[in-house]
Amino acid sequence: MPPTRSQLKKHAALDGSHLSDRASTTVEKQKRVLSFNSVCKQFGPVIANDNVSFEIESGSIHAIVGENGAGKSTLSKILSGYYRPDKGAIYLNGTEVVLNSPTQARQLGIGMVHQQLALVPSLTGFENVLLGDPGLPFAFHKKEIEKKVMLRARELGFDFDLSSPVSNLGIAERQKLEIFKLLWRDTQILILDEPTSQLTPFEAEEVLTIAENLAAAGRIVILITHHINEVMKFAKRVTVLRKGKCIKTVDTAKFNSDDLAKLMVDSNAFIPTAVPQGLSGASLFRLENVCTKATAKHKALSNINLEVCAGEVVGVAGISGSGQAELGMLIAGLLELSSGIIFGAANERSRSLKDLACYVPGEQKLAYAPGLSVAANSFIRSVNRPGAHTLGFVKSSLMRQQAQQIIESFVITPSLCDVAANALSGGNLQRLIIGRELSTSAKIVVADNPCAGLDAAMSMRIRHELRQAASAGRGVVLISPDLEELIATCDRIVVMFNGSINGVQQADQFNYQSLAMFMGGKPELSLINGSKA
Amino acid sequence: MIGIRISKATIVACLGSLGSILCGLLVVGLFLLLAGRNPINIYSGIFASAFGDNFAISETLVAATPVMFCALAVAVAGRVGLMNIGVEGQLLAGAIGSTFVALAMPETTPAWLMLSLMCISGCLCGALWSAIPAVLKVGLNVNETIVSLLLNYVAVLVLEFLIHGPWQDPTNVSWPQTQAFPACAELLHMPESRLHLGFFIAVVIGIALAILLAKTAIGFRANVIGANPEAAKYAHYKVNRYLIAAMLVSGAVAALAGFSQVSAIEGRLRSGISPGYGYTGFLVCWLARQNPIAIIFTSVLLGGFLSGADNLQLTEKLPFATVNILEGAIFLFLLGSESSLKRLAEKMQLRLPSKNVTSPPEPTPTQPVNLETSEAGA
Repeated sequence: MPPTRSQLKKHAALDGSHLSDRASTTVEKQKRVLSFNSVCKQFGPVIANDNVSFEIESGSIHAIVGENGAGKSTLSKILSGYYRPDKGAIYLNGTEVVLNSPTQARQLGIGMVHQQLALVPSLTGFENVLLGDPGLPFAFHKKEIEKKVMLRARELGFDFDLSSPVSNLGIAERQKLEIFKLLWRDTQILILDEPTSQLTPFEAEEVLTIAENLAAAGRIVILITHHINEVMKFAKRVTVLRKGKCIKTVDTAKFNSDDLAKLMVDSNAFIPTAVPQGLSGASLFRLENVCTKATAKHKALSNINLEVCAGEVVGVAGISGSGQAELGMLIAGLLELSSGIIFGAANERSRSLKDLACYVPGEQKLAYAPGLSVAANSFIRSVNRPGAHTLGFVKSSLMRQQAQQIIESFVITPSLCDVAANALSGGNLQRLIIGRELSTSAKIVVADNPCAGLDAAMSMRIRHELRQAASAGRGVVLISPDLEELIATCDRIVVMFNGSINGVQQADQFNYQSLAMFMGGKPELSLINGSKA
Repeated sequence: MIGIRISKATIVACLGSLGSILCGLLVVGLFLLLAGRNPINIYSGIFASAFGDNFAISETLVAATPVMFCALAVAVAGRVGLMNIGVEGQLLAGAIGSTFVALAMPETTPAWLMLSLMCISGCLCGALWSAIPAVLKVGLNVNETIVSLLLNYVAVLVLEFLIHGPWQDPTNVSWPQTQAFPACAELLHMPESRLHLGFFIAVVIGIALAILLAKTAIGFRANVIGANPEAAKYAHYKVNRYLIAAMLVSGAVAALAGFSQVSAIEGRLRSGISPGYGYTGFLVCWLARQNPIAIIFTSVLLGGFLSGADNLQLTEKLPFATVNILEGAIFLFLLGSESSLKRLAEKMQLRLPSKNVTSPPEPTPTQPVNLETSEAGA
């Protein structure tokens, strides 16, 4: 049911000011319980959910964790009405809920924020909120409705600009807009699928704080994530899924993060070891006062000074859109510099580093050819090598051999050369792309958020591969929004802010707090604690 | 071979094309029934006059020739992701270019020289015509589909201007056409049939294109560009160069259709040298999923429809437009089936790895990298 005016008022009364003062709203809220009862779902031979049973209570965030393919997405899709379970049922406060379609789920107040945000970039925030709102009459007074939307947003404590096109908003704001879109439709059960995967620690904290407050106001909030620290910090209870089975539901207060990680992967891969320190060798490239011009798609870089040597992994941190992606593209030879000097190997001036660098782009869709086979995709870079063809004819045995090698060493399933690349899952595809880039002979490796969407074990493997590449005498530039990933992998971290490098830290002085400060632009403490309250 | 090893997808594509043709025949048959005709008689009539005897077959191949050139032209552009719907115009441009040489050179020119000059001039004109959308696409990101489509109408007007004006046959001013070409401008024929060298040239080009796309580095890059130009750019391919080259070659191949029509079939330039070969070629290319070898066979099939329809006018008193309606119906079904076919192909792809999916091997790095190290460096 669409929210009526009186309902809105009621909510305003319930939610009003809870963002600033949570304690006052948790009182006398009736607890709601959502329970999964032996939910099973099978796709062909794949058992996605195997007798999953657990309960979720309102009042605090309930996290669902698990590796890629553990069944988190299937479970959330069952809850939001996209799939029907083969067996089992879902109960809300003891009564079974029938979810035959997304529409039905929405009518019951269940809503999901997808990992890939479903906003229309060219429309304004208002329009996106109202888009597909079932309560919207055929003809309506736009200004009036917009005023209502605005009021509601302010009541709930959202401070984003609703009147400008969504393309002008940052990713965190878009995430918040998605959440608000659900609240506008009176959603009582929110599913957040990897809401922080694209966000910096600050932004993540902001979004999760909002989620926490929504839960405290009596909603059921389900957080699906890879980030164990987020779970420990924001969720009260957490359910661990592994290979479709519900392993355990625990209180985060009575559990530590290492044990949680162990539960997720069921292996001893999490024994912490010291960061392998790369030995710096000869300089591979050096950027001196390099600037690029801003374009429709890309931010301008200004006065970049960076040297990367053989044997080191250099991390690039920053709030999303601070120029990290552009820096990566510049090193990969995909952006023209407008001023400054590039020194290539042996300190020789060069126009571009494109022949020295390989590159894993931040967006997966930029890196593979969907209709072509896995073998062809593994060969996209190699075909430019002089030895890849005789008289212009591609050496297909070489191509298949190389594909086979990548498939084996990066555990790509299905392990077939001839499947179309788009038939692979996102994680497998990412591994194929990383494998392909690392199999080039390029001395400089630029990886832009290579572990996005990969599970913990595979992310570790990728980081390990990057370290290995450094040990083998390459220079690695790792761009990531995930500070923990950078701290765990890099010898040095540079922090980007607004198109230039705002700070550098060496491995022996890595400090989460000060890195976060650099990311905020100025080393001011207020920015760290700067919750929007 | 990139395209052929993915066999299940290929099967689905073939089924889709065949199904579209059958559905098209069925729907048009329904209309024929409504019009009081017996569709079975009419279809068997088309078949007989298309493939019934040697003469019928040679006529079918004659009709298939320009269609094949045009379909290959569409495929060249299509494989790098460009939608060249302007092959009709490029065909006409080719015909104009060839005619210019045929009219300008003395009648005593040796045939080989005359024909090669006609061919080259035709190809240049065709390439020039396709260069316009190509340059606009690469330079200003103007949609090549629309530009090339609109240029078709411009080409028709240029041709009309020429045959009504400067190139009109001075000895017969009542007809908008040029004078007949000299004997040396006529393309080699098979004895006692209209089947000419053009058909074999088209087949050779088709085979060459298939090899180029499947086996060479150029073809490999073209395929990548067609599948995802961004990925190609990121791999430092010279994408713009490929796009322009593909469009120029596309125009030149389409122009060969015009050249072979005026040289071998018409013997002069007149309006209506192409009853929409370019558009039929576009349909053929889609039916054949841009596969050059499949184009060769599909062109012959559609050529059969065209030449059969010629007879239909005489025997059944049905308008030639019947074939256009049939083509339209087939195309509609083809486009309509596209998304469901894609889904079907994806499902079949997913079923492939059924043995492995339930238990993917656990990757275990030899030297695990620490995940929880907020304190490690601090």
